[in-house]
Amino acid sequence: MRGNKDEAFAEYFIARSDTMRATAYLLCGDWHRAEDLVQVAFTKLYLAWDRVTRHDSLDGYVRQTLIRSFLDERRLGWWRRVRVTGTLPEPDPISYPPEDRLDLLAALATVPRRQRAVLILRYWEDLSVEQTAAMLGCSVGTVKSQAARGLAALRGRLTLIGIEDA
Amino acid sequence: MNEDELRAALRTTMTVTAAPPSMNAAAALSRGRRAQVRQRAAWIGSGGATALAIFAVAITATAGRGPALVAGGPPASPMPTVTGIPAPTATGTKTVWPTGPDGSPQEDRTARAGAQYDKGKKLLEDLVGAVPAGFGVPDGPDARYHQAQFEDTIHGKDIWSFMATAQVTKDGGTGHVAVEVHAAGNTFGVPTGCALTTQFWGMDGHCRPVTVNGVQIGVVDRPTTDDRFDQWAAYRYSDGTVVFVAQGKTLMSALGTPPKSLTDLPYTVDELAALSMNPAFHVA
Repeated sequence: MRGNKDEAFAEYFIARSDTMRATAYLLCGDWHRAEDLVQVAFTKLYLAWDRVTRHDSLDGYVRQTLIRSFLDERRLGWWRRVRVTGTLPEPDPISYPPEDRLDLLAALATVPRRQRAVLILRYWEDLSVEQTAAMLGCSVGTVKSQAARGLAALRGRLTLIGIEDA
Repeated sequence: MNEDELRAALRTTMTVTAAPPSMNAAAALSRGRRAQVRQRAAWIGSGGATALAIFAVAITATAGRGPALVAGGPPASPMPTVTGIPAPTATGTKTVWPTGPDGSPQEDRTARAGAQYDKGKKLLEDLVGAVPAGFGVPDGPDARYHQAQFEDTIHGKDIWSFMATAQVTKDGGTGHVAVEVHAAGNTFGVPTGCALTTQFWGMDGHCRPVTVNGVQIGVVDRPTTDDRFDQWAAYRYSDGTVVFVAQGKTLMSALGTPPKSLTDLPYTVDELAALSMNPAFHVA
């Protein structure tokens, strides 16, 4: 039994951990912290494996654990100390201006955490408003307003640093 | 930057960002196994008999029910567990919301009773009361809505926002009006005029200043692409309270075809600017 579970868990980890890490990276802007969040989420998944019997819902379980770990206020102090661009690896040598990429990440980091989570779930994960509300445990109206405010905050920040037109 | 542009920018960013090597599955599996050993040790240490009793109750309570996962995620309520390791929805990662009128923390950001709830309710009454003569305001939960929402705790003070919306009807057409108030201490900062108005819901539009009693109010009189409202205005009180008011000819409908639109908006641009300064909307 354990062999089957371990094998299935490892296969799932190989298939999905990169994707989950990307989401975590957009949330926190730091690869090391992103991997911490992924580790927490997958460890909890391992413990819950037998209970999460619908394997097509594994993504949702991991994603929600990851998001909620990110939003955990007990870790707030840590997040505020993180330098958003301090540990980025060298980008691929293609023509996209690296400073724009860094500016987007830096601007995202200034958006309040809950609004940022809504933005990432809606526009990176492409979850619906209803799915996002369920994942965050709030109302549909709250998701809409948080998304709007998050976009406004992001736009304001990008305007300040000259990426968006005023 | 609108929604589509953000979606594209996120993808571009992740495409051009070099990620570290993939994480090691064997290491993840090892961590999982170690956590399980700790979990079992904690279970034994905490008293197996008690845990078994809880387990029996949980099995009984959930008999015949599936895991009821939402959006591909965990159940809305914590799944039965006999260990010290919480499910994702358990209190270990849960935000502590403000205390409600019953002395218990709220379930989420929205106040469903109590003083803050009542402020949202009164805001709706004041919004309806300010609708110009000649327009009707249908009754019912679909036509009128209010919400009080906890925003954040800043410098030890709970900051709230309040929103109210109402459908308005005239000559067979249906539109809507809205007011959103961010109580003093909010994070909007000091902008006024168009700089403030254009922060409403992230909507873009043509904004022009309108002077009301010597105060310049920014009014967006023509949205750029967003069609949630046709016009909106904002006013910031000296104590920092921010009021947004908005009106639209067309009721947005998530399901089916929206009803016939209003021919004319309820307020002129000048009236909408003045409405943002309505003292009834200054919710403290």
